[in-house]
Amino acid sequence: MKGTGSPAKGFILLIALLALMFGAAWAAEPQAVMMATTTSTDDTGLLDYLAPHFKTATGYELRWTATGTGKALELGKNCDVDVLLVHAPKAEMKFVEEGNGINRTLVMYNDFVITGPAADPAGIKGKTVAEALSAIAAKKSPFVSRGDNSGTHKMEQELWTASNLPLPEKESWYISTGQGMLVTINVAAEKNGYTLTDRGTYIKYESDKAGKAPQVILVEGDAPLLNQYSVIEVNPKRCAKVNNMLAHQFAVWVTGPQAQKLIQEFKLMGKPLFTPNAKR
Amino acid sequence: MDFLYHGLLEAIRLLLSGDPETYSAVAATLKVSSYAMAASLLMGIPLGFVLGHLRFPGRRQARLAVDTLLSLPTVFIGLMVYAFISRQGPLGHMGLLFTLPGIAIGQTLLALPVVIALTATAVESMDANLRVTLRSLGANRRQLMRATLWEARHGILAAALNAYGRVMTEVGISMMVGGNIKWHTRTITTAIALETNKGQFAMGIALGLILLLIAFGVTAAMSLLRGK
Amino acid sequence: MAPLYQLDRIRHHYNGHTVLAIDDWTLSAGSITGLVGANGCGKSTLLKLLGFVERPAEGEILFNGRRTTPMDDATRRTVVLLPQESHLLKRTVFANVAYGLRVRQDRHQERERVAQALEWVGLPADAFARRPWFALSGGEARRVALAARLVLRPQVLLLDEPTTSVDGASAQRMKAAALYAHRQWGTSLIVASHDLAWLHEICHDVIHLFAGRILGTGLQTLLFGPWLDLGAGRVAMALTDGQRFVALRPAEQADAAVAAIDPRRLTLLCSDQAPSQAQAIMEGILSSLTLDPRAGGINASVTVGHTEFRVHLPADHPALAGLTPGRAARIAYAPEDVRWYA
Repeated sequence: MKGTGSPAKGFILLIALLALMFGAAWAAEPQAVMMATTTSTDDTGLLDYLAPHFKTATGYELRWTATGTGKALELGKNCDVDVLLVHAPKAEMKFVEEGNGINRTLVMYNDFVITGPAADPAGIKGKTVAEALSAIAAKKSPFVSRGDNSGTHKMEQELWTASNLPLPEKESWYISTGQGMLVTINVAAEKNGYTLTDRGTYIKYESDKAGKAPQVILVEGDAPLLNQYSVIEVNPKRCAKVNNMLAHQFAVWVTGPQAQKLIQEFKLMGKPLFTPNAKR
Repeated sequence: MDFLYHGLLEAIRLLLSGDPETYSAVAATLKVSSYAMAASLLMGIPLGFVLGHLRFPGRRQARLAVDTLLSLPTVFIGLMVYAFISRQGPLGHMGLLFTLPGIAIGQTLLALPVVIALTATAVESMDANLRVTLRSLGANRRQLMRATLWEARHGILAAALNAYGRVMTEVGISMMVGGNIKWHTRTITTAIALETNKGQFAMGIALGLILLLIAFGVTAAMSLLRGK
Repeated sequence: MAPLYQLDRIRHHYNGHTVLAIDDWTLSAGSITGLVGANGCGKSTLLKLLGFVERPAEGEILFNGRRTTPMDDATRRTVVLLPQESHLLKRTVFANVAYGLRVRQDRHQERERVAQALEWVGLPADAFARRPWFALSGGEARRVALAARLVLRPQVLLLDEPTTSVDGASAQRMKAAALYAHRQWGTSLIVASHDLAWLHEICHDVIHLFAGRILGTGLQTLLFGPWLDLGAGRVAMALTDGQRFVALRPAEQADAAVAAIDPRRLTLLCSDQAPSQAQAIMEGILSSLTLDPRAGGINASVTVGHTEFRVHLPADHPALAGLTPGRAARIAYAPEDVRWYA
């Protein structure tokens, strides 16, 4: 008969367990700033690099969850994070206008590039973004999109519109992966197609392939390709539970001289990724 | 496909070198799945027993509902739990989002239907003569229940293992509720998802192999217990 | 003193189908009672009710004069049933035998008592106590099940076909063990069995169950028809070897009636003896001859076709001289001695 507790005993155990579980959660409310950010800042290792410096400078821990910009903004709207580090200016401004966030401040930018197979079947190398996208559409070359409402995806949609082209979402040559950037580049390589990526992820991709990358940069440096990152504090007037003191601490620190210098010095595979441009 | 081979080497290196990130993810996985299993077994075994042993009105409907819940997608559970424990949600004040207990709640919901349904099946499939035998030997109602539960122990163990498998391998809940926060809520599965997203396929394979190793350890321990 | 069991207007149903209907029946303590009847006649159901494993749908069972139900643990525990399918718990032989003791929270000298019970059924504790439930033959499992009942030293032991489908050696051991309980502790035995020879050997009384009803008691032979009308107030049932069992037509409709003939109303004829005019005769094979331990005299069984007729004779009956089982034997009876059950 051993090994089977009576229902009453089981119930007491259950209560004890729940107490243990939630007790731990209640007891240890650490002084940590909770941030929602985009996959690019996490995947490149920038946050891993910055977080210890932030801890040394302020004594606070930085915790982040890396998702698409869409979900990051949603987490902010639901008061689940204290601060956001995202890169979708139009959506960010709407977010602030609707009263969800305050003190939106530019932090840094990197740029987007259009990559494609070295053979470049649509012949877009060296062209402007508008010319390149027109050429891809005209040639019906495969174009691989994130399709996940991320900052990169939003940027891509804006580029089609800015180039006076209809969104090719329904076209057979337009492939929507719904996944992260590196997966998307790999899909583009498999499909012998083009894609839009942030430079940081491309550098990572290129170094992973150790000089044998099938995807190469074909369009870069054009003004519309600038990818601006901003920090936004979640509005404490809307969200009583957020720790705005910490959020503000982080926002000030990341736009301050120490962090800006660190961002400048951050290199991936020997190449700088982000250009700090905080105006403080 | 040489990342498969590199993955194997990487798995060995991570384990032997005591890589802190890997061990943190392993610890998170073990902790959260233990919470979830303890809670789902404590609730699921009695409920499953009641469902399988007693005859009450609405039992068929309850059974149908539980069997349907076996098909709950983990991402959906993740979203539901998020809706409740988000700071804007009804349980927001408990501060469970982005914590291991938060993930454990979701995984408990994932495992509970498995434990209930399989326990009920195990109890139902007990020999019809068991009841007569126990009664004829003088067991009262409580002793009858206890002995039936004990007789069904192999089926219940299988239920626990099955639920454990689902809990260990799910990624939807851990990602949605836990947020994949390094050093805190990053589990092996969310780490695999992250590494895969980053294109670090070998690392993903390595972590997958480590998960498999843990699963092997648990299963082996269980089958030893069963052998007794 | 109140009888051991007193059944009052008992009805029991399964799925709306009445399987047991006993209006009035009593049984006194300290007896050995046989329960015979075809499969599905209600023997197992009756035993489950007597063992307080199930509650009758209607009616009352008085046990030692007290109304008793399956909820009445204390009383119930003096009655122990060995079900037809003896399910072993998924534990060791020892734990199986000890289960009933533990249920009663009676752990005093548990080891010794379990070992003793195993000895009674011929399973040495040294060799068997530690075996798991699955490492037993069918006969051994059945014996363990019986040991698990005997260890409780019950006031009443109900055995549902204890020796069906077990090997001869096991059956022998089990019969001996059951009788041991009866002699040692005065345990009342109620035994359902198809082993009529055994029942006749040990039982004080035998109860015939037919379609859920008690069809009289005693060691009589039952004949279920179909009945052929011979005219002149007589009916007959064809036996499988071409002979006929003849009786007077019953008062009620013949086709559903059951005929019974008492062993004392049957006799054996000597080889050269001519029957009287009023007697009906059948020829069969003598299948057994046993001493009737209580009434004195000899119980003989004669098989005609597939039907076994039981005959009770005085020990000095001349027809017994030189007769051994396997020999041809003639039995005679008066058709008016056949009794009818509707």
